[in-house]
Amino acid sequence: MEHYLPCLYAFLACAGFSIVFEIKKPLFIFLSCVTGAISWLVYLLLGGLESEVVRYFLATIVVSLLSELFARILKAPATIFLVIGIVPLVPGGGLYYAMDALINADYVLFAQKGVETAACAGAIAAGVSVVTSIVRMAATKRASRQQKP
Amino acid sequence: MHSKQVELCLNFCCELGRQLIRNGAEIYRVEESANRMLAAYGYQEAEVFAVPSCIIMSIHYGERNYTKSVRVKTSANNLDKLDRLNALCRRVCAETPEIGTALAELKAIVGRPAYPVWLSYFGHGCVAAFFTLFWGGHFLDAMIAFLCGLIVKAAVGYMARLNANVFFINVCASMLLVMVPVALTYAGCTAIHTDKIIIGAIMLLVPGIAITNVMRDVIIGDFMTAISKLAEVLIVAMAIAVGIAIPFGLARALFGGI
Repeated sequence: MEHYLPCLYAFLACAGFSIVFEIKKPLFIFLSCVTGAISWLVYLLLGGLESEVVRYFLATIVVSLLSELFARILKAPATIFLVIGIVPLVPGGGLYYAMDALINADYVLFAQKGVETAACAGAIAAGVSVVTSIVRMAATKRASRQQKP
Repeated sequence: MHSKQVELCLNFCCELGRQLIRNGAEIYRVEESANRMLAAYGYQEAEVFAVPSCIIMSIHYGERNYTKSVRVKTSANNLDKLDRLNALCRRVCAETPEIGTALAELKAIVGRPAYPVWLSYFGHGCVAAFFTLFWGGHFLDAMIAFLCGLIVKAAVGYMARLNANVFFINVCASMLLVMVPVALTYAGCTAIHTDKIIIGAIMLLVPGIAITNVMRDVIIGDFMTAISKLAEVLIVAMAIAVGIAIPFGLARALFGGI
């Protein structure tokens, strides 16, 4: 159970972020916190995978899908849920350890951590991109269908 | 008489667009919303161009061309207002109320109060504390991170009021927050995890909305916006890195490594 404790912390940290970004509706706050917790849960559940990048990518896809789903149901911008929900995935640790290595003039470690962090950031970007593109295409298709008859 | 209507509509759409950008909307959302609203009011021949710092709208109506441009300078990142502005925009498109009514509603949304200051401070503290726990820090680390969160909020708020630039704000804020655990470590409090505290508190400075919007704007094909936003993200990241490096470097130069 302790393995999954970070999900709870992610939930609470996202609640803090909801206040920082001034989300007011309780339902929105709850849902963005849930998105944040799920993002880390998916990441943990994929622990069997070798590649960090793939874990980040798949977790981001789940988060983006959830945000788009909430956005469609509640008729609100997906950004609200996405901005909060994606924060636990931001590779802050990698960034810090890369900086730390740089200060200690350990350039091999710096390069390793730096590339790792960049790769994870890229995976997150790719995840968001894939989902947003597909959702846009689906929306365009639906709009063109509604116009025809 | 007609020309007055056009100008009012233009003013309304520009102001709504400006508020959307200020509160963290993607640029494509701003352009789409403005286009839809102008179309709803019957101005089919309209062009909207927006970048993160400026909006230009032109309407061709009757014999004349009407253009207005607004500059967007400050940002507020208020997702509650973003949601309400988006809802207002949907309503305007569906019902096309009188411009005066719509403008009054817009003003009401813009004037909505933010969270009280103490709650905002508490929120910043919680983010830092829980992210420290999230990254594997202990309870004591979380308490110190909470303090760091308060410092970040105070520093960013104070410097933003003085119109400091983004780079300098982030350098100073991250420098101040890093100083706390570093000073404690050098004062002999070695039980704390400096790295976990800093990682937790730094989350507050990560430009989350800009990063998310960059990706979404790239998808839509708005590369100009994406590049300018990406520049902002990179500058902030660099500022945070510099801010982290300064206290460590100074401490090591003055007191030697631990």
